[in-house]
Amino acid sequence: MNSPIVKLSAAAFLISLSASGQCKDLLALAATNLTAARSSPTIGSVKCPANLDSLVGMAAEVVVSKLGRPDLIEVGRGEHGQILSVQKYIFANSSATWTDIGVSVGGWSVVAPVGKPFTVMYFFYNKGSQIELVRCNEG
Amino acid sequence: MTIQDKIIASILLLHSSLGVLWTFWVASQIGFPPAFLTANLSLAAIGIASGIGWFMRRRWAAYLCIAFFLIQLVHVHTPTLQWSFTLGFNLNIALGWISSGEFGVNLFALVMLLWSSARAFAPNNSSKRTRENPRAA
Repeated sequence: MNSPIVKLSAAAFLISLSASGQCKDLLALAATNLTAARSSPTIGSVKCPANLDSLVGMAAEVVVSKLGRPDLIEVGRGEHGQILSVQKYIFANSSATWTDIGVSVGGWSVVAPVGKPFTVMYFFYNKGSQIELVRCNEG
Repeated sequence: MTIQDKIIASILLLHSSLGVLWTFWVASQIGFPPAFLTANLSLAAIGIASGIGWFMRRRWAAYLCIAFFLIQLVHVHTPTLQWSFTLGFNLNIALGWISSGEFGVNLFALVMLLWSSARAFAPNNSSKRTRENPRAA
């Protein structure tokens, strides 16, 4: 029963449980920050969570269940040039205004605040609706 | 046919033909959604027909061309409406609000719309109507 394979499997299971817990914590933190930013009377800087790469592989439904519907959805490209769905969350209240400049679908695109700067989180999903990449631009 | 007309017709054909390839490439990576394929291939067909018609100096080609770029002119992303057609080539500038969404203009489509409209209705335009009036001669 105490073979190395069983021990390794148990360790891998514990690591995956811990990683899954960390992902949920990260999303919970992002959700709290998003709610606070939305209800705040002024637009303030929100810190980007660390270790965003640990969210890679998470299903889109989990993210939407925690953060709600994204503010912007568009087609983008991943690190290897593959087409991905990019979902953006704006960490600011309803007075926030931005310009979005895009050159060719799947190419360069940037959200720039008009007035006070704010944080934007970008989730890149593959066709299986799983996170392939997460980026966060701090305001 | 002026050089300007040749350039407009070439842009129409190039943009639409590459748009067909772009449509299949994107569709292959997002699971071939029928609505995406139908809408983009229809737009590409309008562009190709317009480009061929423009080379043949047909009047209807100008109207197809205007429709082709008008469809790509406005980009709307709201919770209730998503309208964005580019066939893979665009230069968008948009303004957005959390409460109402994002509204943008494709500058490439705007320039092409103005240029092709100016050429289509220019006094020295030699486009022919599809049906000639036999009594006109």
